[in-house]
Amino acid sequence: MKRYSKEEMDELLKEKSDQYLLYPSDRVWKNIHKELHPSNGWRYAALTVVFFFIASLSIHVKKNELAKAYLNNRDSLYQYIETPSASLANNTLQLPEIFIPYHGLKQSTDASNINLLASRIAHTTALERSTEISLPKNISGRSQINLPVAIASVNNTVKEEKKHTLSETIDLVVTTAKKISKDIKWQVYGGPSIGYRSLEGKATRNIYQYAVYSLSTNAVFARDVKDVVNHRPAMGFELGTAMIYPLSKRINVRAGVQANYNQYQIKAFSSIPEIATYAVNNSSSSTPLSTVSVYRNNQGLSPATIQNEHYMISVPVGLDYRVSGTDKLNFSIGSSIQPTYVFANYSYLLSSNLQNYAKEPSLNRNWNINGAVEASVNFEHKGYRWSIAPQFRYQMLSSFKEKYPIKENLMDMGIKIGIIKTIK
Amino acid sequence: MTDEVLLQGCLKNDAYAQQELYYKYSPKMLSVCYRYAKSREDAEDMLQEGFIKVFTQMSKYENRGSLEGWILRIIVHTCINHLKKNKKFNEHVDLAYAGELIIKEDNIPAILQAKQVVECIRSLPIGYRTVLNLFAIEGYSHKEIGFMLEIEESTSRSQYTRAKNMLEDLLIKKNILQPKKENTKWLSSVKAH
Repeated sequence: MKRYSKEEMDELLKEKSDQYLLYPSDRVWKNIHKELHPSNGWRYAALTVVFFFIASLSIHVKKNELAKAYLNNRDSLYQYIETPSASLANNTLQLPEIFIPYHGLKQSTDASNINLLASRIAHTTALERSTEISLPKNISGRSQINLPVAIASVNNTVKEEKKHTLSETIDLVVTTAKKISKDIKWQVYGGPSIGYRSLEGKATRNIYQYAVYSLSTNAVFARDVKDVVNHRPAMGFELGTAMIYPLSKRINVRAGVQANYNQYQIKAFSSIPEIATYAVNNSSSSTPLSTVSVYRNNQGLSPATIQNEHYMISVPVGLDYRVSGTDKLNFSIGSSIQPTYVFANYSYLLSSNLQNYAKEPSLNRNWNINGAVEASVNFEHKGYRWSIAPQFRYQMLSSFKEKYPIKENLMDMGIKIGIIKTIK
Repeated sequence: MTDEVLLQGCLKNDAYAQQELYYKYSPKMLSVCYRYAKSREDAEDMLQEGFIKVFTQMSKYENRGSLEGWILRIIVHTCINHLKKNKKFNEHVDLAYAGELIIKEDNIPAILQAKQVVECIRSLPIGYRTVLNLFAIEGYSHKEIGFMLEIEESTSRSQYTRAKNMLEDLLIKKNILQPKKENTKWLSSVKAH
C-alpha cells in the first residue's frame, strides 16, 4: 500500500475520493422511479370503487326492504288507531299480529289524546296475550280516565315494547332472509380458457459491493424482459359455483367459489447446471439469492419448452347488469373481484441477468387479487337457465413477491358456460 | 450509451434512459453524498433527492460543461441543503478543542485505502468536513463556499486549515500519510536530550 507524503495530501484526497464508489440500494431507484412515473394506482382505485359500489348497493337494497316492511306494518296500525271508537263500542278488538310502535307519549289532559293513548296501551298489552281481547272498563269509549294510572301503564308498556322490538326485529330479519333466499339462484359454471401473462421489468444491475470490490450478477445490463423472453399462451380451465341474488330487475349480485388452472409456455434451452442469481430487494439493500438452473434463456444445448402452471382458488364477488332482453333470453355484462389463493405454483423464474430459468418458490406470492369482466348471453332451455359468457380475467398483483424485480400478471381469456337453477 | 443519447431520452422522460443515467452515475454520486452525510441512509436520501432534481431539471442543462459535472453540482447542492435543513454544518469546533475530539477509529474499517481515506474525512466534525469536501475535493473556492454555506470567506479558510490538520493526523495514524521527516528528527533529538 502506497504511503503518501504530506505534500501529496491534496492529490491523495482527490484520488481516493474518486476511487471510492458506493452502490445504492434498489430502494433509491424505486423511489426515484415512483416519483417520476407514478402509476398503477388506477388498478387499486378501480378495485376500491367496484367494492364500495357493490357494498353500498347491497346496503341500499336491504334498507329499502326493511323500510318497506316497516311502512306496511305502520299503515295497518294507524288505520286501526284512527278509528278506535267503533271497535271500542263492542269492547272487543280484532288485533293484527303486528307490533305497535310507541312514539314517546306525553302527559296530556286532553281527553281524546288520553283515549288514544289508552287505546294504544290496550293494543300493546293485548298483543302479549291474544289477538282478541276485552278492554278494561275504565278506558272504554270516551269515558274519564284516571291519568296517573294511565301513565303508570305507559311505563310498564315501554318495557314490554322493548321486548317486542327485539322479537319483531328478529322476525323481520328472518322473514326478509326467507324472502331473499326465495330469490337466490344457484349457478354452476366452467369452461376452457387460454392462459398468458404480461411481464414487466429489466435486468437488474445489482452489484453487491463490499468496499471497493464488487460482484456483478449479470453481464447484460438494463435489457427489458419483454425483449428477451419468448413465451406463448396455453390452455387452462375454470370451474366454479355462485349464488346469484337479484337486486333489481336488471342488476344481480353474485358471490361464489371458483377454481382456476392457468398455464403458459416458455421457449428456452436446456443447459448444463448453472447458478441462477436473483436480486432480492430488501428494505435498504439488495442481497443475492442463488439456485441451480438447467435452462437457459438463449444459446443452450438444445431447445426446450418450459411450462409454468398455477392452480388457484378464489372467491369472486361481482355484479351483473342486464343490458337488454327478457327473462327468457337476455344479454348481460358483468364484473367481479376475486380474492385468490394460489395453492400450487410450478413456475420457472427468470434470473436477474435474464439468462437462466429456475424454480425459486420463496419468491412466489400465494395471495392475490383477480378482476374479471364478461359479457353473457342467457337463455332458458328445458327448465334451466343457461349462460354463455366470453370472459377476461386479469391478475392485479404480480405473481411474485415485491422483492423480485420482475413483475408478472397472469391473464386468462375463456368461455364460461353456466347453468342456473333457482333454489327452492 | 453515450451521455448525449441518455440526455435526449431523459428529456423525453423515458424511464429506460433515466435508469441508465442513474446506474451510470449513482455509484460516484453516492460516494459524494456519503462524504457529507452522517450515515449511509442519509447519503441515500440525499442521492434520491438529488437525482429527482437532476431528472426534473434536465431541461436546464445547457451543454456547457460535462453532464457528470452538472449532475455533481446538483448533488453537492442537495447535500448542502440537506445539511442546512438539519443545521448540522454550522457546528464549529475550535482547533484547541478539536484535539480532544474522540474519533471513533473502530468505525474505520481497514479494508482499503480509499475507504480509509473517505472514512477519515467522515470522521471530521461536520463543519470541517463540509468545507474540506467542497474545497479540496469538489474544487469550490472559499468565496463560493462562503456563499453556499452562508459563512464568511475567512471562516471557510480557517475551517479548511483546521480540517486539513486534523485529517493529516488521522491519515498519519492510519499509515496512509508519511509524517514529515524533519519533524521526526526534531522529536527524536528532543527525546535524546
